[in-house]
Amino acid sequence: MKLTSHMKKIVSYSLVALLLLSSCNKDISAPVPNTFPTPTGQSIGEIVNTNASFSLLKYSLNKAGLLTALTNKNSVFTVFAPNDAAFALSGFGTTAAIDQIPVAQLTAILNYHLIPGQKITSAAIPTTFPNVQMPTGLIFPPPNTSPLARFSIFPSRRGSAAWANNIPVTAADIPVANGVIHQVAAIIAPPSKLLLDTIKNDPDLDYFEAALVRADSGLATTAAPSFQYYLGNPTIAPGANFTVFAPNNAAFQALIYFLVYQQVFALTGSAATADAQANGAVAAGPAFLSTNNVTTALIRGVVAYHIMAQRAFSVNFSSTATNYQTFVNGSIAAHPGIAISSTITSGFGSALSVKGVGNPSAAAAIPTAAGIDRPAVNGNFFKINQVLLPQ
Amino acid sequence: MRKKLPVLLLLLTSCLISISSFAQSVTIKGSVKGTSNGESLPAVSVTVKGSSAGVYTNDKGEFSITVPSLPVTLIISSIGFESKEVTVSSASQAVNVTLATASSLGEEIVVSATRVAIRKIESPVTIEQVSAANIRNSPASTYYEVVQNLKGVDMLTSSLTFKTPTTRGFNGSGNTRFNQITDGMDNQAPGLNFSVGSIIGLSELDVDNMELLPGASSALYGPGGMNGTLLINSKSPFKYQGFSFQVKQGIMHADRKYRQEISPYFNWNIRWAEKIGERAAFKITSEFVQAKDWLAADQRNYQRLGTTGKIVPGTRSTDPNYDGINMYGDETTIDLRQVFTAIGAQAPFLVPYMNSLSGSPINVSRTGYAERDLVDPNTVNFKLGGAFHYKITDDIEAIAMGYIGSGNSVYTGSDRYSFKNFIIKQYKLELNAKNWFVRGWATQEDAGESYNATVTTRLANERIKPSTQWYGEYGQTYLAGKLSGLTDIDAHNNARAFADAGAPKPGSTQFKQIFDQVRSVPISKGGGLFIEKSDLYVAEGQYNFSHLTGGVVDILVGGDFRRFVLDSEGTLFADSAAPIPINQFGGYVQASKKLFDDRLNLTVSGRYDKNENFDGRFTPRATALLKLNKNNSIRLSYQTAYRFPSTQQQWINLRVGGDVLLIGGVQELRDYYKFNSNPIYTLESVQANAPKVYDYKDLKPENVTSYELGYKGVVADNKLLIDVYGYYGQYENFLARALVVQSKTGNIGGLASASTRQVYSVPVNTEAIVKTYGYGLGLEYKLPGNFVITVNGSSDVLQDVPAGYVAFFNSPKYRANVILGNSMLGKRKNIGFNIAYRWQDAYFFEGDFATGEVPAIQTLDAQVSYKIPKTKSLFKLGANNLLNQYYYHAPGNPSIGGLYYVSYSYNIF
Repeated sequence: MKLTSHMKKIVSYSLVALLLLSSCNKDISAPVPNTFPTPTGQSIGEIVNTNASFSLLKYSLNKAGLLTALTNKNSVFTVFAPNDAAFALSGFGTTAAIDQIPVAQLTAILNYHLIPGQKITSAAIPTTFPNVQMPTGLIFPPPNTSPLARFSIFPSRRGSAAWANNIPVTAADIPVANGVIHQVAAIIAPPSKLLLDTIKNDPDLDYFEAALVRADSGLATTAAPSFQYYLGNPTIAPGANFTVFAPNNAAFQALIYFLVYQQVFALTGSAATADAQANGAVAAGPAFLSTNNVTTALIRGVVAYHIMAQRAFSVNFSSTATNYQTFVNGSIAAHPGIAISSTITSGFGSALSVKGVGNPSAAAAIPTAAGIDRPAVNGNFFKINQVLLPQ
Repeated sequence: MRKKLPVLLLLLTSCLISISSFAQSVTIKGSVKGTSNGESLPAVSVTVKGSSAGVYTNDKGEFSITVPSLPVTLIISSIGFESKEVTVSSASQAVNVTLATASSLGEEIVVSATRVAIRKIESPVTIEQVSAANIRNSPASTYYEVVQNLKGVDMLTSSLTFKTPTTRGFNGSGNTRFNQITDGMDNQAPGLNFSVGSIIGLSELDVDNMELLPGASSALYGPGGMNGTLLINSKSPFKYQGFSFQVKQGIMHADRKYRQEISPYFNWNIRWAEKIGERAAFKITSEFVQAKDWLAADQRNYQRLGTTGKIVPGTRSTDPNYDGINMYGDETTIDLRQVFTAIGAQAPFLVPYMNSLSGSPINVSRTGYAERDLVDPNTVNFKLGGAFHYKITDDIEAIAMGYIGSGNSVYTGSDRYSFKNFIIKQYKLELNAKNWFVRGWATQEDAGESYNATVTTRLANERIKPSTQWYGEYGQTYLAGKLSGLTDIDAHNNARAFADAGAPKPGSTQFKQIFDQVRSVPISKGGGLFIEKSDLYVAEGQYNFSHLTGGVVDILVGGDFRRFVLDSEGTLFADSAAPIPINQFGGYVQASKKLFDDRLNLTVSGRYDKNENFDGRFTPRATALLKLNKNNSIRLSYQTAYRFPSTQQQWINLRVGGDVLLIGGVQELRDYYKFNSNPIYTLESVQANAPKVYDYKDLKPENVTSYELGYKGVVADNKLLIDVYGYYGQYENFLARALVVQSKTGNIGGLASASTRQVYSVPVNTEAIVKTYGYGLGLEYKLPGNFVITVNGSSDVLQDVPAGYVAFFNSPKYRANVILGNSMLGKRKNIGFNIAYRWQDAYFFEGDFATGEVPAIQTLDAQVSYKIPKTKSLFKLGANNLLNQYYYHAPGNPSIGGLYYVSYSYNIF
């Protein structure tokens, strides 16, 4: 009996010992989630909120309801931020002026200043042509239904100077927790119209419009290679990038007068007849280009010579005349192209000259109140005062 | 062998017919009882002194033996009891004998150490034994688990019914370095290359004993036993007679951690054996197991690097390329930049934006499904076995035997495999005499509806939505998310939600339909089903010349012929044209000599094997046993072992995850893939942009040389059995795999791109020589009052593993067991209990499926039993993993919790 109780003790002690030992198996541990530490430092939203020189931007972003998104330190944005001076330069120097803009339009304008999801520092912006194309926060209107179809912005850099489209960056690479801020000198207005529409709407470009129509004669205007398709089709617009040098009516009239005069004078030797016929040709208006006075091939060649297959702003051109390829190079690869030079004043393109091979002198870009660049959805265009002659 | 089997059968039948009937003389009847509680003792040997004639008591403890004349002396003996000699001079009165229980430490007889019956204490190599009584007294729910309590044993649990034991390292569920032999038949599946002992083979009630030989053991058991051999022997129907059964009913998932409901566990066993007259006996055995399986639910993120990898942080919602270990389908991954290229072709205006996103690969995996939603939780195992024994003479016994095993199980190989309705069959014909045996046996496997869970789920995903479409949608939505200012991970998760929209929910009928459809199509035809109908045919024999040469030296000679017939219909092997036969033969000879008055026993053995695909191989062994006295001995051995590359390492031809072609090493496959004319390069060199032609040498068998010193003895007044050993081994020509690359275009430029190159995983011998050593200590102490405490501890270490080399050693440095038991408690000595505590150290597990740290494991098993000798009944209440502390043996394998059962057994003594 003694023995048994002794054994019982042993058994119970060992049982207790075993229980104690046995209580710490590690079962499979749960997977450890990856953590995404919130970056330190001020967010875009916080800087806009606190920096007094961004008071109008802050006011606008608040109005558009975009400030919250820019304050989230876990998302990333590249912001081209107009400061108060920039707002003023663009004619919106007061909150009252901003209030004049419908909210939807204001939101669209502000969205056009953002590259979401990306931190594009100035070092990442190429210094050579063509410009890098970056999607913005502004979604394309129908018929483009893809959320990937965005209005693009074109940052560029030459030396220490940088631009977004044609607007100079006044302070690049302001570091923020959630991306980067580039301060710009003016509001970067999002384009609203296609090149073709702009051309059609401008009565001063009636000749150019007629030339486009004539150049496309015999072609379906809803498909390549028609010019009207390239410059005016909304479906391909998000990916289309053109630079058009559109001669105004006076330029066409001068050319028509000159050509007719020259031809008639050569035939008749009479300056008066030549002048009368040339004036008559001019008086015929743009319809002159639709008639057999000129060949389709000739018009096609001339139109092609006025279009570049890349989007260039005045600030992207060299200050000395440099040759750029046009659509003509699509059929004549060795063609020298057009010689372009531009003048930059305070960061903005102030003058642009463009010379065709057959022109004795260079044409000049005709400015608007906003400058010489005329940004469109699918490209940029300049109105010039001469027709460029490819030969 | 197809031709040879009938010949053998014919031979056997002719033997049976030629048996002459023996003249009946005097029949002695009697019975045997135990002194402790007066219960009748079955299976007690009753032999006539000076003759080989003998019988066993039946299940009522009765015997009947016919002798030519009287008087005779009968020797009555049984393990665990003191032998008795009884002289019988009259046949008229029954011989009633009572046997006293004996302290039999170290007295057990073992066969496998030398292929000759010897006392365990005189074994020249380390040997462990599990007796039927050990199984009966163990708390383990199946006899395979009892092996875990032996020193030096590691177990890998792939599922409830799929357990693989190993000794001295290299643990894995497809362990090809450890032999399991049931009644002389190797139970490695010929095509699948893993031992199927726990799902086919003996039913628990038919297990007579198990012998474990840790360490190299090729010299006697042929290629394969690099690390050890487990021999499982069934009960002779002559010795163990009568009808017995056992009903075990239990519960699992008591805490519902991994399954929604507490689920029942059924384990039913029957065995029926009868003697028909004096010379014939038969037995029928069966076992049925059914339960809801343990669940592998390792959700950790796994980063694959070729065929290896590592566990990394990340979840489905925080890592776009998440690949959960037990999540399937998420192995499909691509670099999203490929999609961007396609999007860029449609939307060139986004190209600069996408390019600036593409600084590094943006790897994205498809959404996976958890194992619980895919693999049938019902595990079923049905075993049926039978044997017919006929004593042609007193010395020659003919045996015809067959086992069949079928059911559902889950196995971890290079992936997780669901074995569904598999059938594995083994048949044997054997002639067994005192000095020789011949046997022919065959293994036939049929994988049934088994499928690879990973492959099947990946393909089901493709069926739900092709990856081209899925990734296209993902890429677009991801970009749109980025463009709308979402954080990167939100953009990913948004994209995933969009691409997954409308996919059938796991567990839904729709998903099941798709999944079932895919898994029923063979792998070779773009599904997940693997067809596996490979066979193995073996003929072997052995002759012991000792009775002729014993005066000088004992000599034992044996040999075997094996023929594998690989038949996977092109789903696993390169056998789409026709089944592939592989022939292999071997022979061994053993000579032993006793010197110095039997104090020193020297044994030398050697074995030669030849596989048609490889050079022949000789493996020697030498052992010395120094008997200090009757109960104490020192053993010293030099052993070698080797294995031929497995049938898969020879002939596999399987496309696996990441579009790697897993191929075998035979010349035919090298020729087929034109390695000669279109060279292969090492993957590392290609990745480093400096392609180096891979020097692909001929494949050789791997081998190990091992030295062992041990002591076994009974001390302290016959109460303490000590067994201690230490070994040192050296592995050479390790069989491993290497990744190589071949250009699809035929010129070196093709290596650069994933689309113009093919990656192969080829079997190779590694050049490194790897050292291993270890030691173990076992103590068995008989305490007063029939208490027995067993303590053992062991250690295995692999050394000099070259950096970056994956050895798959997979063994904890230390492990220990403590077992306390008593089977004769109480006034009537009919109460028993057993407590087994197991501990193993944490270790790093390397596997094809997953590699990672395995924490230390402690388990506690316990049982109490109550015996009613009168009705031959035994009630048992038991628990495996009593504290329900979940553990896992390797990453990707199930978490094993508590299993609690009650059992009723009839006539199992």
